[in-house]
Amino acid sequence: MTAPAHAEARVSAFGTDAKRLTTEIAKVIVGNREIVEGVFTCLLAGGHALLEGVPGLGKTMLVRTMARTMDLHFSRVQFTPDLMPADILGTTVVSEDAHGKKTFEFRRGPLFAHMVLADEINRATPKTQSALLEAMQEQSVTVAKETYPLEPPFVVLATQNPIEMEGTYPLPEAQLDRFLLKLHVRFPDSQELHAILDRTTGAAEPDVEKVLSRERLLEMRGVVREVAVARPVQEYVVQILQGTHPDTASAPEPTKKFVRFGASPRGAQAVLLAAKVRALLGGRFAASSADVRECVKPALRHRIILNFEGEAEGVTTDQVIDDVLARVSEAKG
Amino acid sequence: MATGIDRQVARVAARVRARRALETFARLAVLALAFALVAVLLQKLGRISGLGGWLVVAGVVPVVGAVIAAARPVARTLAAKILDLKFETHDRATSAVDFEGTAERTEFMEAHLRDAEARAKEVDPAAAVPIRTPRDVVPALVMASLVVGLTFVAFPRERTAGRDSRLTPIEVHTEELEAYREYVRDLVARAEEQPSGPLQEAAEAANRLLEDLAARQIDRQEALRRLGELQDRFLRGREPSAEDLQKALRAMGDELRRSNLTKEMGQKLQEPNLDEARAEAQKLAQALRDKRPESREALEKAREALERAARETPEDTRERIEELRRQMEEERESLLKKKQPEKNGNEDAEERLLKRRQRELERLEREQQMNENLRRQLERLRRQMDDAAETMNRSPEESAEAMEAMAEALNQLANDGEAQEQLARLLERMSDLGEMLRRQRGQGQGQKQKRAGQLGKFFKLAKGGMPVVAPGRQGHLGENGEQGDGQQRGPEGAGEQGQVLQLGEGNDGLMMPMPGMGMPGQGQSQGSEQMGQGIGTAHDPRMGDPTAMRSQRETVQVQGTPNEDGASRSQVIMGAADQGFASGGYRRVYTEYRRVMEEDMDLQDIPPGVRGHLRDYMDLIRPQE
Repeated sequence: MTAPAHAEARVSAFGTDAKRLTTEIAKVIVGNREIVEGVFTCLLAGGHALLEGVPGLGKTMLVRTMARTMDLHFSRVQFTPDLMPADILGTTVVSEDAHGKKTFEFRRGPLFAHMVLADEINRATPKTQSALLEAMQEQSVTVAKETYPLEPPFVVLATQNPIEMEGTYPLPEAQLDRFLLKLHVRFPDSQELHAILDRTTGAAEPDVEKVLSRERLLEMRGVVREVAVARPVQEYVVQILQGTHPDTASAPEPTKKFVRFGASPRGAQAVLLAAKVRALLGGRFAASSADVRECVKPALRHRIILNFEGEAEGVTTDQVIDDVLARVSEAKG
Repeated sequence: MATGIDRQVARVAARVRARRALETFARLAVLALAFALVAVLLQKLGRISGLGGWLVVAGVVPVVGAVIAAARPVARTLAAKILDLKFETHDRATSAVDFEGTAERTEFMEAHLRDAEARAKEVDPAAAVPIRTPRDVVPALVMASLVVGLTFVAFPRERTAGRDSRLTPIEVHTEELEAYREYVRDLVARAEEQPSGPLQEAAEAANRLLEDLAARQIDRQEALRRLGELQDRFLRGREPSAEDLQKALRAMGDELRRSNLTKEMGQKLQEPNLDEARAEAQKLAQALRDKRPESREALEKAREALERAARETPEDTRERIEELRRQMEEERESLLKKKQPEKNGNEDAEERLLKRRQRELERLEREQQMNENLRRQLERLRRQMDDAAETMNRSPEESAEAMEAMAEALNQLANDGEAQEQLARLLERMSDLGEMLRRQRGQGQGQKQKRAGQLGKFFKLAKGGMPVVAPGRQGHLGENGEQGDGQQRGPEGAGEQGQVLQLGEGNDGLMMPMPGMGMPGQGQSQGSEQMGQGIGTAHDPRMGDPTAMRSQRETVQVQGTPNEDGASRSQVIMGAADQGFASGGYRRVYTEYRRVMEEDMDLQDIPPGVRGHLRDYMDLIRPQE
């Protein structure tokens, strides 16, 4: 098989598996196709997702369903204000064997799973939120000077209520930057509501099958990294990223006026990885500017820090990104 | 690279260049037509002559712009992007162009190129870059209609009647031309009072030429041709200058004074006063006719005197002129040789010197020609004298007739003298006019405008207008305020007692301040625009040491008496000038001044029409013998 044919086969298989997965998930999750794709993108790109929405929109259900379809070890942590770091990382306890010998033993916390649902993450204190930092970035946990690697794929899917709600602690910028995508879970429309009611209030609850093994998922992650990116497309990403920085000459006026800090280079990585996944889902071998454009908001919206004026004016980071996209030409690269 | 995509991208690039060329052409066409519209308008208003060059520029600019726009390359990635955006192919073409230039392609890149090649047939460059009618076509058509429409509109214009449209009229400054016209009109009027053949013809020809120039009915070539014709025609017919004629007459007068019978006539010739000399000749003729001469001896002496006077010729003058001409010719050749190899900083000075030598050579040639005329005219007088001398030994009737013929020759000489002087000046003025027209030929529009501005300023000053005040040096207020840039009049000077001559009639008499008098000096201080009224006492270092003013004089007021028979102011001045300022010192000073004036006329931008006035002035104050 020639190289192009081999690539075509891999891309084709990737598309088939992705379609099977989304079809299976759609049995349980009504609508929110972009959310499903976003979470799947994070899984394939090796990143973490932050889902934001009011309670009751099916965020937890989505994550749980996804874990079930992929035969992954799933754990769920409900973040509360009194949750301590040891509660999620694990702790060292004294254990005694049959001979009465006592030893220190590390009891793994819920973080040791393939897919961790950090539910309502912004209800926990910053201290506990920060406990996730090392795990999300280094894929490992260090307790009592002992480092414990996390088995891949390790994906944190965090949900949070809108920060304006009472009893929430905004996530620190450093932690926000660890999330590949931030997805807004929207309220379902009337048709979707009917479907939700039909499926959840009847006698038979929908069930899902495992359609992807853990190994296949890791293999698919490898395919994502091989997707080609032309220099003009990459230049487009760079231009967008620079457009979010108020200090750059090419930044549009809203950026200069309302943004305090622009997106980090990690944001550009996130955009490009997500664009690659989108290209594969579209059956293509190279990411395009259109893919980039689709991924910019989820990948950058949580990485842009507005200044006081922006906050006071009620400007959202999505609006800032819209302005940047409107001013950066695809053809420039 | 996938050949299909490559071809499609190339087609897109070609269409982009074509569309860019069309749009550039249309945009520049609007500007060019606006330019043409202005040119046609200016031509209609008579501000410019000839539209050819303007229209060529208007036509060439859009074409050149379109060619440049078409020649500018289009980046392949840009052309590919146009295809991708039009057909939403997810950057297949753009990425393919990029991957084609990648040295190490991954299998995904190869797969992408194959995918792009497969999709190449689905894209259509014509649809991606349609060749549309440029937006600027409508304004361009409107402008073109305006240009065409304007060409059919007739505009009223000054001085256009009868002008040949094929000619390119000369732009001559009105004031400058008016100086010539005024002079020639005056000359025509005087020539009509005393019809004198060549002068009248020359004046009328010059007048016609100047009127045609003023009416813009002739071009430069025609004007120069007519000037040349005027010079050729009348230079040949020119008679000797008054100076040379007087010199010859004095020599004759010297001889005639040796006889009692011809003594009076000789004195009058020496003055020279040809009218009175003629009267004396007529008196002698009458005496001969009346058989009144006392003795045979007296008649013999008169015959000898007439014979000797008849032998006097201006040969020395001719030889002098020939020698000068030869020297000038040698100097001119030397300058021409020197000019060829050398290209240094003195080039301008040498060029000016060469031109001056050329003009002097021409003047000498004219003088030589005049000398021939002088010889011819004096020959006639000599023949008459010779006849008179011969007839002295015959009958008194024959002697009287011969003497009357000589008187008539003298009369003719007297009449011609003034006319020839006028003709000489007229030809000199026409020569200046020719020089001005030749200078204009090498000037661009900007230079002409600049010159027009300078001339306007010059004539304003000449008419007593106030110049722009320039910072000047602090003047020496009082006796010796230096003449220069400033305008502030110095206070009354405390000079030595001098003399004021009042010339002319009654209160209209001209006050002539003489050296040594206490007149206000002309100050230099800036700020005031009041003109100085006194004479300047500064000294040009080129003229050697200043003249010492040590004379003690007293003021004398000469009251003129109103009298219809009295001389006019100009006649009085002429008369004073004719009396001469004869001294060796004055001749030396005059020569220096004349030289400096000629140099300044070469170096400074003095209008040719004014140069005649300067030369007239210098002629008036020339040293008389």
